[in-house]
Amino acid sequence: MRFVSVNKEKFFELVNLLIKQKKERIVGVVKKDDDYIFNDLENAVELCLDYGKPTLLPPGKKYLLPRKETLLKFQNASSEIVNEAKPITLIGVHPYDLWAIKVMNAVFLSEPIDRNYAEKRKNMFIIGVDYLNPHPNSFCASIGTYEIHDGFDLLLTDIGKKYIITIDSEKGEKFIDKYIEFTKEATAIDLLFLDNAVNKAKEKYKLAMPLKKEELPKFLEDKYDNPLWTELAKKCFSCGKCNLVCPTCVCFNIEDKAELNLQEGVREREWHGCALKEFAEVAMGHNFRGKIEQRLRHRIYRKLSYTVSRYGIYGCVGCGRCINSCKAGIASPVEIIKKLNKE
Amino acid sequence: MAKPKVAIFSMACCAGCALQIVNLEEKILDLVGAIDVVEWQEGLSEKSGGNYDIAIIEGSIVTEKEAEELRKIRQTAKIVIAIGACAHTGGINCLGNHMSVEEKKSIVYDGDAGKIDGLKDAIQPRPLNAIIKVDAVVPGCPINKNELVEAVKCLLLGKKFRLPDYPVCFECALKENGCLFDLDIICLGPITRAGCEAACPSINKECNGCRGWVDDPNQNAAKDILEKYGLSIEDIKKRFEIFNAYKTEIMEKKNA
Ligand code: SF4
Ligand code: SF4
Ligand code: SF4
Ligand code: SF4
Ligand code: SF4
Repeated sequence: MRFVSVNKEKFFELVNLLIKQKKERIVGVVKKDDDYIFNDLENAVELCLDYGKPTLLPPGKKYLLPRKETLLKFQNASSEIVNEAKPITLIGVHPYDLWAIKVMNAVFLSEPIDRNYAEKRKNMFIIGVDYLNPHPNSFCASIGTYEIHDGFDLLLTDIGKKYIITIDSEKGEKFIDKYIEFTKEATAIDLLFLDNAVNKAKEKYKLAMPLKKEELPKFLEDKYDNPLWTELAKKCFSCGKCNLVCPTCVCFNIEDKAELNLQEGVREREWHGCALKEFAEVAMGHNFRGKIEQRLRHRIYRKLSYTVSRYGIYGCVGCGRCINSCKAGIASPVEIIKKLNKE
Repeated sequence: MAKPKVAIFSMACCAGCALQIVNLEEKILDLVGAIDVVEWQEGLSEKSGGNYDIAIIEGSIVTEKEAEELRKIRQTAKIVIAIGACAHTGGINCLGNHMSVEEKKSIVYDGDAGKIDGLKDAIQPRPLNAIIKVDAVVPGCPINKNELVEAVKCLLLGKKFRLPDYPVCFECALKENGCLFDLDIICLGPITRAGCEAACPSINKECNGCRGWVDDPNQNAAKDILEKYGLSIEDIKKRFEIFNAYKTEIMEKKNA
């Protein structure tokens, strides 16, 4: 693995250069009221790379599986596949969100491969940033997602006046070589600072999963009929925010939409979520998960057990977004496991 | 194939929803290409004498005369679409329904109500479905014009027009709005039917529920939250009632 360092001012100069070149979309973390979001950058000064509260929507999902995407256009009897993927650079992705992209890869890049996702992933250049100011609702340290060593092109670690850049891909190497005048090879001391920063951040988490994540699938085995699910359901609005904001919730709905002339139309996919009442509804109106408690339970099992048995990877990366966004205060995987564990 | 005959009617309301139809601009041309608008208070003047494929109706019913007209439209129209909060939930016209018609007349007209002809057959304001069967609803105050186009499209295609059955919060999160509750602003988004793209929270205004409630609102949960944010049951009721007074009225009768 190769490491370089870059002075902060230099890094922002570089970002501005990228913006000016207009070769690809440059997207980064910016402030929106009291929150952060990923958005197209007009100037590097907008970037907030030391953000603590996870962005409202996760970047991987926002740009790899857009909220609404056209898959097919049809006209009379003929149809044409649509697969739009423009080059894009993301700046400021935290390790938990990089872990989440691994979960998405497991889902969409295993057979049968999702061509639209694959094309977008290929065209994405990811500059991550280590998560050094964890939010009180994040619990990455307890499930091992506080750091990451692959799954990005470049990863920045803030060590004060400069960033140490970890390079993990060929694309990343090429990028650094192309803009070689901006960086310096990292020194042994730089690397010490890097380790130190990440380890110190690990101690800052306020919230922790009470059980080791390896124990969770087994633990959940006999919790399926626990009264807790009905208890929580009394408070749930079925608003689906806990799904929407979750970086590993990747369910969608597909619909064919015809134009008014009834001759042409599009096939679109749109985000959906298992907390919504309509989610498990099938033709003739039967709903496999018509009850709120079934839906709440499904989300937790999907995060902490199902993805492990199906893809060998945990579906919860500990970002805490579901906790931040649930107005009923019932979405926290940590609280749910704590309560189930007390019985 | 003959174009479907469509008529648009206004009952008691501000006509803001019909204005949204005028605002459809280029989309209305497509719509006009596919349908034949035969009667419209805002647009056409000649009366076509019934037999509509689709009757689009805005406004709530506040007089016996309107109720009669509505029943007639129903008899001659294949499909009735209620558009806007007034037609859908009764809307703000129902805000005074906790008082009798006579009480309201005397407060508003100070004893002169008897002199006004139009008030003679006034009744308690009602949504359309309290009087006739409604086939589809396009909710909101005012309506979301794209949703109306969608509804007409579906009905022309013989598909059922489905409204989202999830709360405004879902769309609010999609728009990457922070939650107003975090700013201590009380919002009815959690129980109100989505489809407006969270229009109000997106400009930092609380949702007042103009699209009516989701099919199965978790009212107890809503009360819990509102209470947590310091609203009394009376306050909560007032907020719920801005656009949904008729529904509360019916529910109270049921529970009584
Ligand atoms: S758990 Fe919370 S966020 Fe999820 S659907 Fe229920 S109320 Fe909404
Ligand atoms: S379940 Fe909650 S904490 Fe876990 S990844 Fe999803 S949003 Fe983050
Ligand atoms: S719903 Fe609102 S905009 Fe539409 S007619 Fe009624 S008051 Fe006017
Ligand atoms: S602002 Fe209102 S609609 Fe938006 S998430 Fe909060 S409660 Fe829901
Ligand atoms: S946010 Fe609420 S009040 Fe505003 S348009 Fe939507 S449903 Fe109506």
